[in-house]
Amino acid sequence: MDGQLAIDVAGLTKTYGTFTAVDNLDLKVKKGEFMGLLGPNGAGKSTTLKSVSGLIRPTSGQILINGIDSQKNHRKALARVGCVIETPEFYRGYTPAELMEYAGRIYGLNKTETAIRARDVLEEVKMWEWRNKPIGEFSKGMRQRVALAQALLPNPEVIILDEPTSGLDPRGMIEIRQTLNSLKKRDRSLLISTHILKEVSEMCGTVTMINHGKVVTTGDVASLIHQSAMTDAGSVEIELRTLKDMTPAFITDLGGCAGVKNTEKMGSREVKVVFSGTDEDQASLVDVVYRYDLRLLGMTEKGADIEKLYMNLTKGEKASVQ
Amino acid sequence: MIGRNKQANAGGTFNDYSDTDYSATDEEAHRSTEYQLPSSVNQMLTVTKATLKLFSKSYTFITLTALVLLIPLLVYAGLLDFVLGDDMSVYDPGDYAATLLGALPVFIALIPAAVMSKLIPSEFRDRTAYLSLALPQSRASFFFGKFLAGMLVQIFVFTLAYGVIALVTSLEIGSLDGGAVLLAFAITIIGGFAISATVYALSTFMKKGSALLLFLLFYMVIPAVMILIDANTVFSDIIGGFIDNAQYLPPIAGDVATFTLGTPYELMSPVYFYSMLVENSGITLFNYNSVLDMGVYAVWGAAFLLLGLYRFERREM
Repeated sequence: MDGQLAIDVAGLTKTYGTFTAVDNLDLKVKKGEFMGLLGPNGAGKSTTLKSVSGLIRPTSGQILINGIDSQKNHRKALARVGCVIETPEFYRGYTPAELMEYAGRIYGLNKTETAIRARDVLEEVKMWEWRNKPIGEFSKGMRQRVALAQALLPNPEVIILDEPTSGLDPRGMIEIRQTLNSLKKRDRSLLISTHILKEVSEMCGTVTMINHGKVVTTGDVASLIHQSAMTDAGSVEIELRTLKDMTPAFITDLGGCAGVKNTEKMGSREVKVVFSGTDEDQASLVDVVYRYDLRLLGMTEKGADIEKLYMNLTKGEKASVQ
Repeated sequence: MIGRNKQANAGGTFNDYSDTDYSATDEEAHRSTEYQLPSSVNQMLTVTKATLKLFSKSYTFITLTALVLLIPLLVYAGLLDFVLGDDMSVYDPGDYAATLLGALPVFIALIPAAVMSKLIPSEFRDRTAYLSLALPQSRASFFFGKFLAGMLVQIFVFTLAYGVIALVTSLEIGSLDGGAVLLAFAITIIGGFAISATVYALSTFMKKGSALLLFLLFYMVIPAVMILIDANTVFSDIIGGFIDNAQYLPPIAGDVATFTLGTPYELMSPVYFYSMLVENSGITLFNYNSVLDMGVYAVWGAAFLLLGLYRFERREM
């Protein structure tokens, strides 16, 4: 097992009687990495996260968090981990302030440290003014924010979140994503399960897609999206738009670049390129634009989006994406 | 920039922040601080404190305290004399106190059932276990922490009850034998511990937890089975002196405690009540060994606590 991994799951299997929820699953989250866990309903995402956070016992497999076996030493493994699993529920009589105090004491914060960190995390999730109100009176979205604050309280190195923006309005979703993105600067590792594909494409560098308890694909988000845009012949369509009109000489030079199979002029300032080269080759296309001083407006891979990737990999399942 | 100094000077309490424009540097907000986990015992005590806080906001605790405070009310309103049909002013202090404690055989089952039966099931039913069990604490710390909180509530209630009864007795009749009171109190607490541990352990197998079911088990089912066995001469010939051995069962701890003080008017003793219904059974609890009784209750309680821990550690969300 690699010591540079924040989360290292090997051969995770969880069965309930004759039903296998997770089947020999491997999952590796590097330190400082943000990984999205995608899959349709019933794919095994929550079971995987519950196994990692110690809420359920795996039937077999090993789970290391920061190199510590979480099944043999739950306390030590989760000492630098913050979790929000499924819809958070709290003791009804509790206020956010009391919840922070409870969680803080468990993590080892003293009274002053808890007060400082609680202020910081509650402000971050916009719940500071509600700190002394009973959580039982909160909406689902507000409880979601409090749960996230509780997870961030002890400055965790690893954060495990199960649909953290569920129940939030669009503004709330954006604010939570901003909060989570700010953690990248602090070299935190994140494993997030979500149905919202935009969250994965905006926040995560890597993604693991699971279905029927097994890993379907895993890897760099950009590369997987790029692969999803490829045609059967192994090429992608790139649309180039410029500010100035494209000259025939430019089109000829473009067509002569490495990796370019075909060019098709769509307008005076737009061209479609059928491309099957490397990233270096793709960068060379931009060089040609600048050489002709055409002022590049945009360069997009047609069909390269995470929705297409998700739909391709979960064919036959009922859609559960947003 | 928010005054971290201001907050630190004020001891880090929430109410120090009166303005709403929050900003803090990473250093001020301790965003890079690494914290050390406390010991399992400290975490257990944190759970105990958190559970006591929840109790203080619940009706169970207020109701139990109010019930205890009813005792002097019943005495001074003359209601107890009326109900018993007897002039209690002629009782000796021990018998008087034992009679005031006459409801103990009920409450020694009722209070543990009320306090303990839902502590664990509610964590799974209300899904608060998703929060608590995902924290870096062992399930054992959490299990024992909640149990300790429940026991502390019961110790408070029984201490209050004994205190009130001792005070009323000394005012009305005369002073009690302090040793007898302490012994009766110890039997009550240890018997209550055994019943609490049993209720707590059985609740780990239940989805919702039922105070009524568990109370009926201790107050009615177990004593009824005992009486029926004793009434059957075939069994009593084989087992011999079974009812003398019944004192070792935790549901009978209430009877043992009251008999330690004096001879109570056995209004609410399940042993006495059921024995009146069954022929060939004249049951009173005279031959008891309180020290041995407490030892058995303690072992009984510890065994059930371990059973409950075994089940809780394997229970899944």
